[in-house]
Formats: sequence, C-alpha cells, structure tokens
Amino acid sequence: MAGPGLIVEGPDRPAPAAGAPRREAVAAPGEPTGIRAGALLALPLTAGVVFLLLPLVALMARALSDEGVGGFADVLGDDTFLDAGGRTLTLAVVVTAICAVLGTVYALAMVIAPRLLGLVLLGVLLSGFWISLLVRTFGWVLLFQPNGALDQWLRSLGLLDGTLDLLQTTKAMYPAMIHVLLPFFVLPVYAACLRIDTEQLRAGQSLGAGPLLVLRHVVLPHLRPSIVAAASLVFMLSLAFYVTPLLIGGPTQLTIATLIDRQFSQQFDLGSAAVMGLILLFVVLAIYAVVDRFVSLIPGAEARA
Amino acid sequence: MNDRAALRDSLRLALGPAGLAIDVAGVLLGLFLLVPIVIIFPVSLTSDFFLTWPPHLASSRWFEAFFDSAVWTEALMRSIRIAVPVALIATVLGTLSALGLAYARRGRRLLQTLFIAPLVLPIITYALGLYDVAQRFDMTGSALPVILGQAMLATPIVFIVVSAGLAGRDPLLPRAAASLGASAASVLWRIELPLLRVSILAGALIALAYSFDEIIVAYFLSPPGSGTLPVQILGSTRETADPTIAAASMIVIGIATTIAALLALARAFAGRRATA
Repeated sequence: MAGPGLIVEGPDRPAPAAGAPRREAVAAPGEPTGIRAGALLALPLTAGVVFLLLPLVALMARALSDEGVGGFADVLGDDTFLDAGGRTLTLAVVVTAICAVLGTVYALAMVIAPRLLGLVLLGVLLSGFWISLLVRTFGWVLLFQPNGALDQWLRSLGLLDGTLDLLQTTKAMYPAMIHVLLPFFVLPVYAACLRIDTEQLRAGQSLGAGPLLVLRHVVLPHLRPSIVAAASLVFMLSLAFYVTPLLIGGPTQLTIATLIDRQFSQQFDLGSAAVMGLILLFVVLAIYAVVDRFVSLIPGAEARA
Repeated sequence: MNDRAALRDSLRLALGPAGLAIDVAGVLLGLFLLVPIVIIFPVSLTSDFFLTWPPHLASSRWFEAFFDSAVWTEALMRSIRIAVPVALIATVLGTLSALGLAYARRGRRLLQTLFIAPLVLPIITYALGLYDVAQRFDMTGSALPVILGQAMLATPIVFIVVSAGLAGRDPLLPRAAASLGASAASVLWRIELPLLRVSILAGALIALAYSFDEIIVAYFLSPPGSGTLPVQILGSTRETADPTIAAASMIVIGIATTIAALLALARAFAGRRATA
C-alpha cells in the first residue's frame, strides 16, 4: 500500500466513512497530465544528496581519517561512552514507555471529553509544539533549581526543609523529556482515535463487552499501528535528545548527545565526536529501517495548525 | 462534525465509568503540560535582578533591557535573517517533494521513507557533519551552512503538510485540466499550486517557526557571541542568571504565537472560501 502515512485526518477533518474507498494522494498512474515526477523530484533529491548526505559522508571520512576503523572500537570500549550510552538507553526506554501509556490516555481523553474540554486539551497539546523547546526546558530548570519553584512550594506546604537539589540529576530529566516528547506521541494516536469504527464499538457492546473488554479488543487493536509508530518516533528522538539533558542533566549526567557536545565544544576533538555521532546515527537509522518496514511513521507535525 | 460527536458518544457509552477516569487523567496531563509555561511567564515580568521564585511581579524592565541590549537585538535580527531563507528553501523543496511523490509511478514507498528520514536523523550528528564541511570550505563563520542545514531539516515538515493537502484536494481537477488541453506546466501552475495554496502557506509558516526554535545546528555552526536567539538564550542560561533570558523566552513565545495565529487565520479564511 503506497504512502499510508501521508493521509492523516487532521482534527478539523472528518474521518472518511467506514468502507468508503480511501482517496489516494495521487493521480492514478497513467493519467495523462503529462507531469513527470522526475522533473519535480530532481531539485529536492539533488539538494538532499548535496546538503544532507554529503555532510554525513564528510563526517564519516573525518572519523576514518582522524580515528581510523579502530576509533569505533575504542569508543565502543570507552567507559565514559558506555556510561552515557547506558543512561541514554534507559532514559529512552522509560520515557517511551511512559509516553505510550500517558499519551494513549491523553489521545482518548481528547476524543471522549466534552466538546469544550476536548478543544482545551488539543490547544494545550499544540502549545507544546509551538512554544520553544528551549524555553519550556528552561521552565523546568526554574522549577527544579535549588530554591526554585518546587522547593519554595514544598517548603510553603511544610513538606520540605532545605532543598531537593534536583537539577543536574537524571531523575529531573524524566518529566522534562516526557513533557517535550508527549505531543509527538499523542498527535498520531489522536488521528487514529478519530478513525475508530463506531459500528465495532456498538457490536462489542451489544455482545455484552464491558469497558475493559472494549478497550482491549476494539480500541487498542485499532490504535496499535499508530502506537507502534509513535513510540518508535519518540524512542528515536529521545536517543538523540540534546537540549534537555544539557540544561537539566548537566556535565555530570552525560547522555550520548551531551557527551558528543563535550567532545566537540570543550575537548575540540572533532574526530571522536564524529565517531560517537556516527554510532548514534547508525543505531537510529537501523531502528528506522526496521520500523519503516512494518508501520509508516506518521509525524504529528502537520497537525500543528 | 456530526461524526465526531457520534464517535465521542459511542466511545463514552462503550467505556462507561472508564471514560470518566480518562477525562480526569486527561485534565491532569494537560496541567502537567502547562507547568513550564506557567513557571516561565511570571519570571519574565520580575522586578528582581536574579532569576528567583517567586518573582516580584509587575515590571517590564527586562523587556526594556532586551531591546536596549545590542547582543539580544542582534541575535533576534540574526534569527530573522536565517529563518526567512530557511522557510523559503524548505517550502520550495518540500512542495516539490510532495508533488513529485504524488505523481511518481514507481518507488513511492522508498521516496516517502527518504523524505521523512530527516525527521529522525540525530541532529547532533548532522550538525557535526555540517561543521566538518563548513570547515573544509572555510565557511564556519558564515550563516549559509546554518540556513542550508535548517532548511534540510524543515523540508520534511513542509513535505508532510503539503502531502496532506494533496490528499485532501480533488484529484480529478488536474486530470480534467489536462484532458482539456492544459500542458503539464500549466496544470501544476494553474491547478495544483492554487489548490495547495493554504497547505503551502501552512508549511512555510511552520518551517519559519521551526527555524526560530532550532538550536543544535545554529549552536554548532555559530561562532561564539554571534548565535541566533535560541543560541543566545542557551549560552546565557549556562553563564548568568540574568532575567533578560526570561524576557527573551517570552519574545520567542510571542513570535511562535504570532506565526500560529497567522496560520489559524489562513486556515479560517480558506475554510470560509471553500464553503462560500
């Protein structure tokens, strides 16, 4: 099936009636518009090769000339890298799992909530896309910093003396990362929720299924492809996450991305930064290649409107 | 919107008491999503010298400090000078990709995979690659690598938005035009592009917002002291606790909100024309 990921019903577009043929994004092959795809694609594909692929090839050349093939083995055996890699992987797994649970609930809430509440929930979610990642992370810094908002608030409730000292801990990264990544999970799942078949719901009910059975046998199976796609997207994004670990984790709680940054901007070691960056790239591309075979990643970005 | 209401009602009915639990969880999660914004807003209006909580409200002095400071206003201007060409390049490339994919006869799945791939590309790796190329061409101080890099990263966003627009337009119109003798060029120029106008504008605005917010490429390729607004904010948070940062943050939010409002306006206007 060609391009299933491109047909996303936005929140303002009703889902096609069940059983109606899905309108394809294309003029059917052989239609005599005379438009040649090759002519249209020449510019974007050339730009992609020159400005996207070439820098990555150049980086590979740099890594091989500075560090050699052995450089990759050295980095993979390096304790700092393994420590950062372990932390990054743990963060990515936990953040993805939590986003999957909370995001599915949020997407369902957007559909079943009373009209006004549903609109508010959608607005709040989209504000996450529109308000700068950096600025939102900065909000978390102000919350967690010593004598910051959280400390003050807990103290005023009499629950705390002194300070929690959460900034520069791995713990504090979780809420901030979940906050940033949740919208990426929710939007594709929300789009799928809008396509739930009401006939199936009614059928399940008339056969006596309670809420849990309906969830397990009608709702979740319908959402499964979008949940898998969205979770993969969140997982890949969190592996390469940079701003939040930098501002909240700081120099003691390195992730792969902040370790690369340290090698590059403090140690001025472009060679080893390149090796680490390429290892990260290979891991993400391998995941993308596998995931892409089964589901189409539906990025939620277009629902920002 | 009747479908939407019917779906809501039958889901509610089927989920029974679980529906209420989901509502409550949704509200709690919505509050969680608002936390950092609620924190940052009052701080930017603070009258204190340092970033503290609770802030003493009612002061616009940090906004004044922002606009009086050459460092901050130059960063803002630099952001604008970078974001506009980024949006233009990404819009052209993204629109061509979407149209090309729609008219491709073979390899569509592969093309789609390629066009979406930059969204999951580790940007930090790409930024290193751009830096490496910029260094080889002796262009590390130039804005050009930042513009090209951000444009490549924003292209898939435009591609997705325009593809959604292509899926929503009537595919018979271009064929009808062609059967009436329109050339390929005029089908594209006089049929497809006008039909996709709103999607293309939406893609361009989102690309513009993306560039204003993008930090990794801008940070890795900017010489110290001459970054875009987000780079300047990032640099300042690591060095000082100057509340101008919070004011700058509010300005970034203001820009994004303006772009979002323009987008909503364009959509509403197009919607009215479509139903008129």
